[in-house]
Amino acid sequence: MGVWFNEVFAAIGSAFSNPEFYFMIIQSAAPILLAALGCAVAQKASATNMGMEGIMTFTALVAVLVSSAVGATAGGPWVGLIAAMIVGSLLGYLVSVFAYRLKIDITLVGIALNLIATGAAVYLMYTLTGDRATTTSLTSGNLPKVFIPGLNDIPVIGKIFSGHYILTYASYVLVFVLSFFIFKTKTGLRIRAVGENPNAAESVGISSLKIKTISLTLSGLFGGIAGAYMSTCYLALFSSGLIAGRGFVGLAACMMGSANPGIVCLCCLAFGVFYAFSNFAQHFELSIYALGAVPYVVVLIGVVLYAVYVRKKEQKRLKGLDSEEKTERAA
Amino acid sequence: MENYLVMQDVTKIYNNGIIANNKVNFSAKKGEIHAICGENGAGKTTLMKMLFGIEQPDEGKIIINGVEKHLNSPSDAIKAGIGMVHQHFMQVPSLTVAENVTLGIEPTKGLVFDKQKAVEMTQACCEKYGFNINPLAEIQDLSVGVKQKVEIVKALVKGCEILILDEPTAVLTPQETRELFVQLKNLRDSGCTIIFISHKLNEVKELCDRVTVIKRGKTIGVWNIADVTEADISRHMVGVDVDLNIPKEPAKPGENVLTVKDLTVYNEAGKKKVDGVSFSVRRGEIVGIAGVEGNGQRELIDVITGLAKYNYGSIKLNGKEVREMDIRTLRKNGMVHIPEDRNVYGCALNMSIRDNMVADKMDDPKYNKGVMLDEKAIAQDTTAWVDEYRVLCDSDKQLVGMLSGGNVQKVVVAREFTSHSDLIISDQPTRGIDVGAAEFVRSRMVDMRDQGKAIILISADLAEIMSLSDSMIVMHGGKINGYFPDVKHLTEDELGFYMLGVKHMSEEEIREALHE
Repeated sequence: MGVWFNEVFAAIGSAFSNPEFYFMIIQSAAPILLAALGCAVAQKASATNMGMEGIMTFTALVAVLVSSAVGATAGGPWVGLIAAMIVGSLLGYLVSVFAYRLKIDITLVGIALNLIATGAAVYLMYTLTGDRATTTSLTSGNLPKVFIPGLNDIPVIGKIFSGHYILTYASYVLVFVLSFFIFKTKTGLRIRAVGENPNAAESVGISSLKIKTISLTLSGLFGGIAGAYMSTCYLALFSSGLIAGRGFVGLAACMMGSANPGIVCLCCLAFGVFYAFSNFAQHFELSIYALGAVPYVVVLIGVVLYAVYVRKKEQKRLKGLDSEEKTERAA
Repeated sequence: MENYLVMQDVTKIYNNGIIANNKVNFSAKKGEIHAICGENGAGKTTLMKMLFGIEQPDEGKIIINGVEKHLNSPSDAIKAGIGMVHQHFMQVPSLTVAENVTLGIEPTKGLVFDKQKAVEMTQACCEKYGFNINPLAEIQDLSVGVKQKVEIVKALVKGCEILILDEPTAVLTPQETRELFVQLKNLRDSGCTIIFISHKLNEVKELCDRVTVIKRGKTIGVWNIADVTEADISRHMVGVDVDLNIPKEPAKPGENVLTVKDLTVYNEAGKKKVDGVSFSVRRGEIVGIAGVEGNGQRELIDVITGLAKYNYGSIKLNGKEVREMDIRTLRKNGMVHIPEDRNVYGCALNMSIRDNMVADKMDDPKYNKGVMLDEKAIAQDTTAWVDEYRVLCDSDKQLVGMLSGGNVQKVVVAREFTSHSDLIISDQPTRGIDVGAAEFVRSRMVDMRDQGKAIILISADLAEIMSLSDSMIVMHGGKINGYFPDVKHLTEDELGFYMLGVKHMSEEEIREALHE
């Protein structure tokens, strides 16, 4: 036991003193962030997109297939990304159709989508490549990495912030784009209004159905980018376990950040620390299975803490109510 | 002066066959405040929903400024110059006043919401009509009174000529109400037509120019406010058509079963809904609780039955504090409850009549054989109860959801009345059920009383509550406004006065409800 502890501390110490670790945090938080932003735009309209995992799984495969069809060197990954975005949007739209036009519980729609997407992806992969596990037989390629001139040459900083995939940078830029969209545009205002009080929106002639459709389609778009990230940046192939719960972790981060892109981004970075650590610490004498579980355990703890926080806030409000009564009685 | 708005022979029949409006006529002039008064369920809200495009009339016409209009949605109504201030504010708490006011007609610069312009629009409207609101404040930080002003500004900014206010003062303090009235009078003087729905007759008298009274979906009449007194309006509103004539002996009350003392209840929004209420219910009597909806009866029943928690005061059932018991324990201590909404709280619609009837008796040893339920013993009793309570069904295995409303209610009544009990709480026991079933339920209640049970009856049906109760409590504004130890001497006019707060009893008289 003592030895185990020593190993853990050694791993932590070496991680935090290594620029590569910070690089990995940024890298591994990116796909979660994309998923979380996708969930956030839907959540703002009070539509919980449980199907994010499924959308990511399916679009990750789409990106690889399209990319290899076009040719890895002939700009395939870019076309793959665009295809993933289109398919993702369609899936998001489909969720809205099932949930709000056909009035099926949105949680069930999400679960169904997750199951179908995973099954369909494996089936499609097997039919097209003859391989059930991965698409290694296809050469789909990666999106380019960007070395930022100037920044690249600064010692530690350069190692951390330069040399990421272009989509990694894009995902952090999208935090600002989405913030602007939600908080500054007319459509964003309507999304927030529908999310908080659909009756209020309806009473002034805004169709909550239309607004929810828009936000779920956008959510799917983000899911498509997240899926493409996994299969054209994180790896250059698709495998059945590729997404590994990142869609759900994204959803958790979205909830913890109250669907506000800035806070959601911080939550994703926090999760990213543990993802990075579980990768990084593999050089040490630690069980890789235990390490692999670390991010999920942290997400669970995070969600529990968040729930406790929400309940405390509610209790505080009720207490305020109580003391008001007491002063009124005393008077 | 010409009528600006005319609603002519408007009829609305809901899908469930309830006739909410039966050839209702209503008209309002430009620049007047016109009150609509009527009991709960008289059809005021339905009429206004049709005017605001939420519901469509089955028959009749809506004419605005001489032109017939077909209002199929709130947007149509807004375009026709109609604005509505709903009882529950239609606002988004985390958005600012300006954002709420301009929602739906947002000013934009390209794709971007033009916040500056929205603030200016709000400001201009507030200044024009003399409202003092900060356009940049968030709705969630505002008091109820200000929220209501926002709601009015929301309608005005869209250029409304007809403003509907549905019980606007129900949520306001007296000061806020006074301020609102000043502003409404200003609005009227600037040419706006205001329709004011209220139960508070003193306010109607103070604020309005004319009053239309609606009863049971029909227009009773239109009066100039100067020509009628509050008592007149009340008499037109209330008034029982039929005497139910339920045969019953005078009550012989025994000892107290339920004692409520200085009970105060706040709702979730922190508003005081029950305010220092004290009364008791004795064996062998039916105590009616009357009052206009929203005067605290709902909250009172919720805390007595353990569905909600109370903040101050005490409720004792057979000497034990209700606060300290969960609902299971409450029932073991002799409380049974016929809830207001039989489909939600009263029974499980997709379970059989049999299962519903024994749902509260499952742990009775009589119905158990080891760890299994004794189906035979259960079936024996439930088939007998189906006969006894005249539930019309194929067998007691039929799903409750397949039954008509009256028979569903009989299943609920059968379950509750066959449980061991000292106190029966009957909340709207005959609402929406056919005459025969209603009569049956009522006569069973009298039987239960004669067996020495204490009964509380809440009913919006004044005929029912007046003929069934032995004594009656009237609630108004969360307080007991009147206690009548013997309902026989109570006239419906008199009851109306107390329900609407025209008359009040003294503290001493009300204290008698406690039977100390």
